[in-house]
Amino acid sequence: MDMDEVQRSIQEDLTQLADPLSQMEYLLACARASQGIPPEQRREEDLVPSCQARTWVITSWDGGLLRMQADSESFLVKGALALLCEVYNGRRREDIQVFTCRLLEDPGFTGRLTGEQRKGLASILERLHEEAAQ
Amino acid sequence: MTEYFPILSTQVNGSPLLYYDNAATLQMAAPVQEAVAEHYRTCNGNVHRSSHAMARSTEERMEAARETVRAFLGAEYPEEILFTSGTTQGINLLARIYEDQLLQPGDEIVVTALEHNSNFLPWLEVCRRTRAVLRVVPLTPDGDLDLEAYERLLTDRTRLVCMTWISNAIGTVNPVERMTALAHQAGAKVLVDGAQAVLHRPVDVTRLGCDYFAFSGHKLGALTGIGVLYGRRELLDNLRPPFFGGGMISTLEGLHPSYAPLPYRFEAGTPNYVGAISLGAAIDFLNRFGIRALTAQAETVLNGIQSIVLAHGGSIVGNPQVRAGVLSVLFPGVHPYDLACILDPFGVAVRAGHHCASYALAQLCISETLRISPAFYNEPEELPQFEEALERALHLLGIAAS
Amino acid sequence: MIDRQQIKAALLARKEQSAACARQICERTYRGQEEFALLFRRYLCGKFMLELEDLDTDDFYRICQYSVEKASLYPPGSIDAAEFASKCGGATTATNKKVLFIMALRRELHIPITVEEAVSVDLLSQLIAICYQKLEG
Repeated sequence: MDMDEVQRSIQEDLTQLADPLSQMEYLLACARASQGIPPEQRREEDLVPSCQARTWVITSWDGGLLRMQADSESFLVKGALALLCEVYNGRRREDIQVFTCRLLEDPGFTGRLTGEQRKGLASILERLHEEAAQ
Repeated sequence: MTEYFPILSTQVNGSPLLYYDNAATLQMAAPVQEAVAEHYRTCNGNVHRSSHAMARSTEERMEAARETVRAFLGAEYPEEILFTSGTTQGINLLARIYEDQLLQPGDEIVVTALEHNSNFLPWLEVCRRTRAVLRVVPLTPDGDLDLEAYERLLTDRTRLVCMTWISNAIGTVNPVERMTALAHQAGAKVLVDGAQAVLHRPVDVTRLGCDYFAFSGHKLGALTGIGVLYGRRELLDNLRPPFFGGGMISTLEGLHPSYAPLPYRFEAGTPNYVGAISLGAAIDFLNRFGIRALTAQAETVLNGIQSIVLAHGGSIVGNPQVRAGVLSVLFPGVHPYDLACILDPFGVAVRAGHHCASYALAQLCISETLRISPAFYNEPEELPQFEEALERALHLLGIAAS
Repeated sequence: MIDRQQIKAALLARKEQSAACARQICERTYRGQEEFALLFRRYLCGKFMLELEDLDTDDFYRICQYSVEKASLYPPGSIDAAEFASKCGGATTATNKKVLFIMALRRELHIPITVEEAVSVDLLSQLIAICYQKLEG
């Protein structure tokens, strides 16, 4: 699936789950299923500055494809990051550059997060797109 | 009480609302809402400007509210009651006065480690600008102020001591009367931040002995955007206003203003007269029951919540000698934000974060907590719902952690 | 890669199962006491966030305690010892849970069982029998 298709699939999942509690359970289950970043690999320089809960994002480019790992002390944020990884991991620079992420506008995705947490996720997306444009 | 607070009958995601974020803001009682609506329905005019009936009537209501606040605080004179936009603005007003008129390089200002940012940052900035020295009263491991350290910080250079009465982060009740007496012995003036205390302790500024006292109206169920800075008349009389605009001069002859008497010289611009009227109505409403009785009801629910938290493996942040109004709690392996988010669809409204008191939490080696702050309109009958919500939330997060 | 479809399917299935159990009990579409008992147990599991295999005892108070332990962070068996005397009404968390469940039976399943009747019951099988009798006469 391309990035738009993955995004649409995630939005459909959240719509089907409908109520806020089920949507949060979905994020928490994604957090559990995510590999995250092992504690010994979490470095200060990988901390996302604007996140209220400590959140780490590690990115690298392998053969022109994005490799992204993410983790957070907040399970809800970790779950949201796991879904962003689903969308962005393994994608080419040119695909990321033309992609518009609408997940942060989806109430099912970020409706339970605080404004500060949403800003933190937005800063992560901004960074991914900046790296892709380099 | 619910008859006075229809908002408490709201349902959130099909669950009854349990509003436990009263340290952030208190819900507005129906009589106070009616006072605001009635004002706009029957008489609204700008104050201290026009002479028509609408303006005169509004002015009378605002000044009546000032008198209500005077009596509520136990102040001697109504001109000691300055209407502000809230605790933050009141403290910043005083900070600007100290910066412009009262501080020299090397002077000292004492604040405590428990302060909300609104009573910490202004003084940090004032000291930076004036080259005065900021001294911070440290905490004990239990979250009380270290009073021995406080006494050692007081010197003949101390000009002002700024202290919160009740911590908004962990609920510590400070011995403000005793601390005020010690400050005065050292020749310093005292500002008390009463934002949390006004709902949990009867206030008598004369008995407390403080020189300044600040609080916000919305913590008593008035409109937001209204607050009070109390200042002893003999001090305010000798201070120049820091902000300028309409309504604060007696005369202006050429380039020579003659400033209005107290309190108006410190209330430049159109005052929030509707806010003041709502504050008067809010105090009148609370006075029907008495702060002591209202506090007792809130404490009953707070104790019940504490038991539930402890029974589910949570811990209470701080163990001060006296606590009121709030509990900050932590659950191992669970981020407070996650818990607050998941409690919300069960109808439980609480706050997670550093509560604008990150310095205080850092002294206790903590960055965020879950803060629970019931009020007098919460009831013990709500506790089973709270407990069930907490269990379900911990269960969900426990699954996520496993 | 996360198996989102499996996650979503499991969540939807659990939601539907809880709602279906409650619906079947309310609409009396079960056939006989045995089927009612299974629906009742599934409904109880949904409310207590347990799995059917967790109901390995007939001691209803013990089931309530286990549900609290599973949600709590205290070690198994230590819940009552951790309760504070100042807890409102002197009731333990597990007893509160029992009372809350009875209130849910009345509110959600319209089973006219009183708290006094339920409090006198120690075994889950007894509670199921009483509720069945209340519904069927």
